[in-house]
Amino acid sequence: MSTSLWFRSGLGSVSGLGLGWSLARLSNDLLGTAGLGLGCALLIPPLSAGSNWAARIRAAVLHGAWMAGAILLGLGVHRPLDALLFVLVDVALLALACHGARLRVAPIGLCLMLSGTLARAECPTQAPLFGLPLAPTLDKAVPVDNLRRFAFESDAHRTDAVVVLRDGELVFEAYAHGFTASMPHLAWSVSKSISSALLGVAIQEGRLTLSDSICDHLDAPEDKCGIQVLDLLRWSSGLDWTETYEEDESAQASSVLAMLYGEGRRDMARFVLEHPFRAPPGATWMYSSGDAHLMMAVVGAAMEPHHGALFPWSVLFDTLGMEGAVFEQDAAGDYVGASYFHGTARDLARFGQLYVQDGCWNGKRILPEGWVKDAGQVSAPFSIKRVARSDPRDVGGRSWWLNRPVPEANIEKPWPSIPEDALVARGHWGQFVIVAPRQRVVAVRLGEDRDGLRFDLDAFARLAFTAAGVLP
Amino acid sequence: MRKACTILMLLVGACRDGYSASDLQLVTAYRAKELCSCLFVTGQSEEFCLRYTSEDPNVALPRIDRSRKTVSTAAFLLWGARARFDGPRTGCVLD
Repeated sequence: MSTSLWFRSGLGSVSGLGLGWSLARLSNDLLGTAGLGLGCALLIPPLSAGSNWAARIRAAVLHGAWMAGAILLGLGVHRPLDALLFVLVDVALLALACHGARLRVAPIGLCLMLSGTLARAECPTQAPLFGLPLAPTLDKAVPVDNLRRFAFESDAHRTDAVVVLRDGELVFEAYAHGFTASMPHLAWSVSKSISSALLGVAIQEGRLTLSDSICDHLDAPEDKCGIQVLDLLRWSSGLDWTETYEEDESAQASSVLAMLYGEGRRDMARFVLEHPFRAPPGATWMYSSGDAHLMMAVVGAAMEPHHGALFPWSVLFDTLGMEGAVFEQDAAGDYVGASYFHGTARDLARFGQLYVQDGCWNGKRILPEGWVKDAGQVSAPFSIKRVARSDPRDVGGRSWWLNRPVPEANIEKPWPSIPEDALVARGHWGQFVIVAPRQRVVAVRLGEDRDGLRFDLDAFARLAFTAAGVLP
Repeated sequence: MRKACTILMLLVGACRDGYSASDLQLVTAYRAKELCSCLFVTGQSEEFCLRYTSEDPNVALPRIDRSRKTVSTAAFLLWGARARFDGPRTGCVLD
């Protein structure tokens, strides 16, 4: 058999395989699906010549191995250089294999097919969350019981809800104190991590970039134009801010209480911008609800002209199926990104699952590539200079809390039972969302730990991860 | 006696330095907003929400208007706040 016929018949076979695959994996990624469909339609007629089935199978294996290798290498057609590589490889293969008129249509079709296929591999379609009934198997019964006892029967803390997912499957769910699966719970500062995801969506859509000045989007005083979106994302605006709460000695000195309930409450972004600088933007790290609120105001200014005032639902919450999501605003119409997201435990589990899936949802990329990985890196200003940490074990990332040791600051891994690459969203009075991307586990705990109550997050995580089957 | 001292401190605190809102203004605004959210966003019982939003001493006295979905609070006649339910997605907001 000639080389030309070997490749032609092989590619014809693979294109048939690709057509079947594309139909089986139909999703909302229009470009990928259209690419596959068009590619197969263009390829099948010119390449299905020949009837040597052994040759077809050999070619299918060869081509399949090449595609699998590309996927394993992490090549993605959304990156221009990778896309160029695919085109060059395809043209080279076909130049060797084909002659005459067929060469003109075949490379185009093959490139489209590969583009579509690999785009889909980058963001695979997932099974619907919570698709399986909650029915712990016998081998999980003991760990699940231990988790339930720890979370709900201790006098040391007060738990309202717990949800644990592994691979999107519900492995544990329980409620107390009148809460149910359909009742939203105030998430307090978990809202900061949710706001960071909305920023990610805005960047993925091209509405803004991390290096934008806040003055590109807000009507801010000129001396504040040095603050970039990235500074707000990693709590390093340098604005002089006092992050203390009601249990601290002087509520009147608290910037966050003044913002939420005092003179700042009607226009919180304006209130934050009235604060002088304590340090240049990006030079220091300090946990700040002011930075978080300002960031969400920037996101709102960038997104509302395109999606309307309810953009958090149209671009994120509805996509993820967060049916109980409530996001409160100040009187100026800005979402209170620091504190006022409410959601059910399941809503928060879905939000965590987005990070387990590297920012992909049902075959579509929601967060920019690398966003989840970057969220888990110790913030550069944190490594340089930390100001006024409430807990010396805290490690700050990009609007998430991290579990990484920081040797230069003599900080050990904060929670020994949680993987080092985990992300933790944390809110006042014991709200937690733990995301472990490698273990594909999400653990949500909502509660009301006040008046001396304290929740042992590490002990909870150990039991939750055991119930999920990723710890012995 | 301890409660009386704390109330006295709250009243004195109204004259302290810091942000301009006094502790009593903060307490009344906090209770109005969070009571509104607890009742009309979370959907918890009134008993739960009154406990959830109480502070020690519990000086911010609430008035709940379920038909208008508003919560007003007042302390010592001089300080007060009002929060209203804005909608099922955007919850409660302080006036």
